[in-house]
Amino acid sequence: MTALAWVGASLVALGVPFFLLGTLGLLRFPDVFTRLHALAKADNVGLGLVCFGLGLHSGSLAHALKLALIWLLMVIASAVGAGLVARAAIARGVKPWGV
Amino acid sequence: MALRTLSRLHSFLRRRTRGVGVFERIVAYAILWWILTEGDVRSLAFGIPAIAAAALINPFAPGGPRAWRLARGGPFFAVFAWLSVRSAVDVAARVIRPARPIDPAVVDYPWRLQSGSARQFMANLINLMPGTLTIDPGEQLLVLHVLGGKERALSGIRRLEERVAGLFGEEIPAHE
Repeated sequence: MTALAWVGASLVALGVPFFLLGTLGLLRFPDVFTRLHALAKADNVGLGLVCFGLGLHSGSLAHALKLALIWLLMVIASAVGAGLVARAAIARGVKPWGV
Repeated sequence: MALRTLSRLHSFLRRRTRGVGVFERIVAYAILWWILTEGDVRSLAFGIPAIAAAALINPFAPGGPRAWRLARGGPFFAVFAWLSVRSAVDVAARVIRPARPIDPAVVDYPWRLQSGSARQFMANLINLMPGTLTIDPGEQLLVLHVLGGKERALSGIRRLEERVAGLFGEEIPAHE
């Protein structure tokens, strides 16, 4: 493997724990709002590192840009989705835990 | 009849082709096509009509992200990346510690941004920033859910709002 491929693989390995911890947050956190915090923030960085790493690993500019596009669309969807779920929960009268 | 349809089509296209110039849009969609097809030249038989159609029928209504100050996009992205990492590390640390240290609060934040697109951008951006989540992007007040460390999160939101204002070229009053 080239140096670039090694750096890419390391970034992928660095990104995976964020998915794991985001999902752990989904299980450990007490209510819908705190769970949204865990998912949106951890997945943004987790997928960012995985896509960036795979982009470097592929060694192709078109591939790397396509992965960047995938990350961008996913981040927009996750940020908007988290906001919509939070808004819907408040509208349905869900009380935030510990407030 | 045909003439009326034609003139309707003409005025539709004229409304849509405002905003960023057709040339910039052709370049942008051509780059997008190149990325999606990974530079496959054979795909251009479909690509050229698709690029032309997308550039003519501008799907981005005036007042959207085109209002960005492009030169500020780069530094803004750097700040976004850094804050994203801090945000993810912060939430990961709270998840993994046995005590699960969270101290949620709901906070009303009076908007300083004026334009709808800047507010919408910020309301969604907040969901990715350290310890903050938008519950309701209201007319006067932005209602936030804070995961813990209310004061620190709020001062972060103030700085973020100033950066978003810079990105959209808006002047906002200083925090008192």
